[in-house]
Amino acid sequence: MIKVVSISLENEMDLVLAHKRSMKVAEQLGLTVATQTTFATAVSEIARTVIEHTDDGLLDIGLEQNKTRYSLMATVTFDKEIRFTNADAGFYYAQKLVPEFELSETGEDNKITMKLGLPRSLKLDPLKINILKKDFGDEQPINAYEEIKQRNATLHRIASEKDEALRQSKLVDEKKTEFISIASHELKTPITVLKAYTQMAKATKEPVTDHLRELLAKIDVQSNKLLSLVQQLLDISKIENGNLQYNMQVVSLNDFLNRQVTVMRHILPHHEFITSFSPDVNVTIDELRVEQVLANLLGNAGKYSDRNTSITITTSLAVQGMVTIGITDQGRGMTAETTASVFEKFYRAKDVLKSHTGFGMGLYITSKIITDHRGKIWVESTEGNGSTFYFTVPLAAG
Amino acid sequence: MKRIMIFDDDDDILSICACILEEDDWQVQTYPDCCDLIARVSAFAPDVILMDNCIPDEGGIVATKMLKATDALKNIPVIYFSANSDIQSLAATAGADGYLPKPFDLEVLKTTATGALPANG
Repeated sequence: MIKVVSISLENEMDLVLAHKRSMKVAEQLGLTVATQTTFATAVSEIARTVIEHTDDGLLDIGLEQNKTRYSLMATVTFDKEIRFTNADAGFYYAQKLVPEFELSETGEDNKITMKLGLPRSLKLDPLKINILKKDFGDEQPINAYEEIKQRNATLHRIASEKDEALRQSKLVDEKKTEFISIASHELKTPITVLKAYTQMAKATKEPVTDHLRELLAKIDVQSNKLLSLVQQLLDISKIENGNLQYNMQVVSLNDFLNRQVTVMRHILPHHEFITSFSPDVNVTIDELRVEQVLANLLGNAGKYSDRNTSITITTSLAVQGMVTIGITDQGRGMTAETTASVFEKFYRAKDVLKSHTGFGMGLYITSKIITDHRGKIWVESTEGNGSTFYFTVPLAAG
Repeated sequence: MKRIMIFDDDDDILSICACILEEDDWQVQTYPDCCDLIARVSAFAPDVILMDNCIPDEGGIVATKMLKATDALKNIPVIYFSANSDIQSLAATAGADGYLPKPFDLEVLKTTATGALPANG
């Protein structure tokens, strides 16, 4: 069949539509008003009978070519569980209206086919049929109901396209996280080898010039940087997978901070570290993860301030079971815009993009670790006057 | 002489470990896979085994479990060896006796291997 119009048969409103469309097709073909009405009545009787049983029927109206002759044709398909007999008034009546009527119950669906031979005088040809198809395809909805039905179908299509797009983007995101995880793990093997050979070269008993020793030390520093970047990538992929795990322990806060400051004095020998602690308390933290937080915050304090300036670490008295730790530098400070975005993943302030290297991962990971400890992190900063980063961690119970 | 067997899929890692441990008076055998695992381990009878997580074909977890399921070999300490940050739980799953995260310090490699030796060894 050369389909011209399709209508899904869901409710009584579709009957009106089926009738109007059948009339219109017959009219466009040039059939008499009497024939138009007869055809349309047969189609809508069958449509009514189908709608009484199901909301899943489908009406197609079109043309069938048999050599040089054409027939006007309508088919109604519906669920094969539904059987019609002549006791169904509409079914019985429709058979009387059209010359050819057939009920087929053999395929996947049951199907009623109605045909009406068209006189040669109509002079149909493929070109005219195409114009007819196009006219019906382009035609404006004939009533408010059909318009709503069409819009509904369009909205359904858009909604399912959006669902698919969302599904795709989630899939891509998961793949990306998985890729970062695998890639960073794979990167660790060559770093392991690089670090080990460097260590072997430094420890060799053969004579090594001072210059070579200096170069080896630089390789070592750079492979440590590489390792820490890879570690940050792994942390990010773990955060995104929800796989960042914590091993919480009760720790004396001041002892813990003093240990970190001692380590950082070695790493940042050109800065003065000043500590001002409140009386010691026990806190519940994952020591390795909070070590990472301090290394990040103290490292940033050193990175964004000049040599021979000071970095001050303070602790406050506990409020509502949380103790606040502050890290103040005398560095370049931040704009209000940067202050607002500095904890976002991959965020880098425009004014330091060229002057300071980094991926914008450190503070994102830090803020994630602190919020996973039920703590808060925030920053107060004035451009040109340094920054203070604060974070809170929970006191140990009892 | 104390004996150690090292399983790792990376040739450089194998040669670094062999070089460092031989300096430290270990007799070392290295393998890039765990084919004929039980036969090889039985033949060499090592005091300690260093087992990589990603060893072909079965992987370190299966290989360690195979060793631990063999009566004659189950008492040989297995040190689990990986760049995976979940190494601790991987080692526990495998039933290994210890673990050494990659990258590793060469001194830590020596002390870990020596530390795994049975007390009477």
